[in-house]
Amino acid sequence: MIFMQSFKHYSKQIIQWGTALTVSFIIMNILCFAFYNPCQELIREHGATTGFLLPGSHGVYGMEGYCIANIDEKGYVNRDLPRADSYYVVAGASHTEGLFLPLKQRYSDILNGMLGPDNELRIYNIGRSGNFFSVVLQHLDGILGEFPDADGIIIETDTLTYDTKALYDSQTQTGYDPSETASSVLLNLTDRQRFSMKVKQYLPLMRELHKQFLTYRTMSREDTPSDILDPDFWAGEYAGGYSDALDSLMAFIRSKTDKQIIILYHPAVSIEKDGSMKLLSNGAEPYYREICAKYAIDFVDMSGPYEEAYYKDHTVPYGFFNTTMGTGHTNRTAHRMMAEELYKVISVRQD
Amino acid sequence: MSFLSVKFIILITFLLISLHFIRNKTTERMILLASSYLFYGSFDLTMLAVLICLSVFTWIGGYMLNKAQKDGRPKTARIICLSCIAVQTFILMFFKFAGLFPMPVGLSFYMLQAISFLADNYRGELSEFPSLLDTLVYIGFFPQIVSGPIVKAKDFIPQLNSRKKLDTARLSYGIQLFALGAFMKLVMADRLAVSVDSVYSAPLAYSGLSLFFASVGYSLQLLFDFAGYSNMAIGVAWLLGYDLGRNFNLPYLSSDPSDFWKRWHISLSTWLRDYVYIPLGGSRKGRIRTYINIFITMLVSGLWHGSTLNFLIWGAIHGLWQVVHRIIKDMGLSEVSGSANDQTYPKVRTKHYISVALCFLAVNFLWIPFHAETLSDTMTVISGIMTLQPGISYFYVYTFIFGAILLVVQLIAVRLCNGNDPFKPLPLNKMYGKILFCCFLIAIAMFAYFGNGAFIYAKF
Repeated sequence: MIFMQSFKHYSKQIIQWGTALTVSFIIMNILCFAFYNPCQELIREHGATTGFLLPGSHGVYGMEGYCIANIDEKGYVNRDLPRADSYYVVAGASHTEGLFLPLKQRYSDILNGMLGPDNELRIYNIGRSGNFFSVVLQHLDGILGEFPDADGIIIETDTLTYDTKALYDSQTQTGYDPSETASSVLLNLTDRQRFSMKVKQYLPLMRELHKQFLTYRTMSREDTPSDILDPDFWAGEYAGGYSDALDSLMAFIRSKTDKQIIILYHPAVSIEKDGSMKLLSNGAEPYYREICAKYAIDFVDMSGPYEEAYYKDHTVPYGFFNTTMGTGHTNRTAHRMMAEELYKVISVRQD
Repeated sequence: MSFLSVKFIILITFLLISLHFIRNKTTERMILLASSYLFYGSFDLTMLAVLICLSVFTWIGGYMLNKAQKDGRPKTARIICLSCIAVQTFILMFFKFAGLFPMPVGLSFYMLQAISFLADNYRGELSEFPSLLDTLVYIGFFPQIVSGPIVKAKDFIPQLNSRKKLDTARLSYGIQLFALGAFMKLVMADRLAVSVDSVYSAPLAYSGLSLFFASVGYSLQLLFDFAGYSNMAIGVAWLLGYDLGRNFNLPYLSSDPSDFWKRWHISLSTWLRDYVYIPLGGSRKGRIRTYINIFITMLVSGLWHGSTLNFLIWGAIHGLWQVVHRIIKDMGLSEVSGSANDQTYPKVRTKHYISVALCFLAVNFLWIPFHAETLSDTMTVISGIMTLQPGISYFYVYTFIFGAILLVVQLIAVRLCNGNDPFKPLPLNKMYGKILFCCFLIAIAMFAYFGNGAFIYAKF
């Protein structure tokens, strides 16, 4: 009898707690739609980028800055406007994708507005998180294949820390398969992949908790000090075959197309104790400047504008009011500056 | 082992189950002691050795003074008590100031408990002399060993004989207090720390207004960090059947320095009152001596917090502020109202709220030396604020969000709880209580910042 009563009591408690957990999960999941609901990614191998975002979808990113992203029918982060007859393709990683800034505040959108009326896209953004400089270059065939009618290509990078080997490796092309469009990738998904996408789409809380769990797991691991800017290493590189490798890369890029190619370089920064802003550079800028000029590739270096803006107006190119200054992604100020610098190069060419 | 680790959850679960089934008091204490040493030993075994040696030394000292008192030798007892406290203070100072060895985790906290053990014995405030096992459990009690609350021997040791068994109400209160602490620490304090640290690491780069809001952010961070830890410690102790008292009571609702110290780190304030201020003579030896005693007590508080000039100055200014406030009060120029536990906390008096705001501003400025590494850094921050220096405009959004949350809680406290902490556990026997609690737990998991996890007060 006592056993039965206990059994009933505990069963009731378990059911009640299960119900409470389910209801609270639903409530917090709804909240998550306004805070963190990233777009779904579709992976591909032979195209302009490593993947698409779910065409026609919207995403919310509130961890760093705040952005409601709009994905166009081709799976890129562009506004729903027609592409102009004459346009540039902008490739790069998360800075270009800009999933931390409201629409129209990314440098691609600002530049678009500067180049003409705001009813069509003269700058087509194919930025994708993780598509760093070397990755973009490996997809050069893909970009040229997917956007054969583009007037030019802008490649964004926040670092020049690619050593001799990486410069040669960047020339290895992933190729272009015209059938790998966002809609075809979407069509070829397995049932399991579709189900997984639906779950992620409607349960952003799961993704948030998973992300938090991964962060928690890595929390205890000690960070190994990064030697990416080690001057001794780079001195060794520059004394070796670095120039030849960079020359080979730029020659390779130029051999692919005679369109305008712009490399947009914006270095990371750190705010120093004495109040100065330090550019985190490995000192490769002169090499890029010289060799890019040799192959008529425009090298837009944001180091100068960044420093000028900091010492003139105390504006920092990285960081948001919900993160810290000088860290993370490029903010609204940096995007405006990048657009202005790019405009100078593009308008010169158009003139 | 941190409170917020899987290992700790396993330890506490094992301990709760064990204590639930064990009836023998000695076995109960031995398990508690083993768990405490397991927890503390996980930081460093050498530190554990220091803890054990000091606990045994304290007990022997206590035993000798107790024997001397029983034998009718009060002077000998007094000498033993003072000698032992001097040795304990020397050890604390040695680790704090000499810098030859790393400071054992929580030494500042458990040393004060060890002193309390001797003083309470000397004063006869313990009904009987505790056994060695009781003393070891008291000094090494794991929930509060790292960052307090500092529990006095007279308050804790009697509880060892009358430990409360875990029931539904106790479980509900303890878990909710722990969850509240985890929220304050992981979601609020650690998230604020990111911004505060970045500004304080380069104060010359930021505008005066940004520095000011960073200092406000630090005031909030310090509160959420320390009060969060205290809540977790009190919650765990509550689950185990012990009451560690309250350590914070909405300190930023204080209207004067005296009230502030009745609300902030209450266990340290009362410790200083009982074992420093009162033995110095308290307010019994005239006004001038009272002022001097207040000043000395706050200076001791400053020295306890840290070994740099920053902390000494912090203690001295707090002491001066208290003395000035006391003088004004003695002259009848100040109305005393709105203090903690006061049943007549003013609800609508503008003058009082101006006092609260001014008190917060003063406390806020006095926290600056707490974070700045050197006196020079402190001056850089203060002069940056005062001169409204030009620089980066940076206003961290979470400072405003968490500040607003605290403000709402304080308004609720003023309206409904006479200015006292309005925390009431959710009724987990009701469905809505269960749902709200689950939402709260999910919110912790969602918004926790997993970066800098160190508790600020653990370094003191």
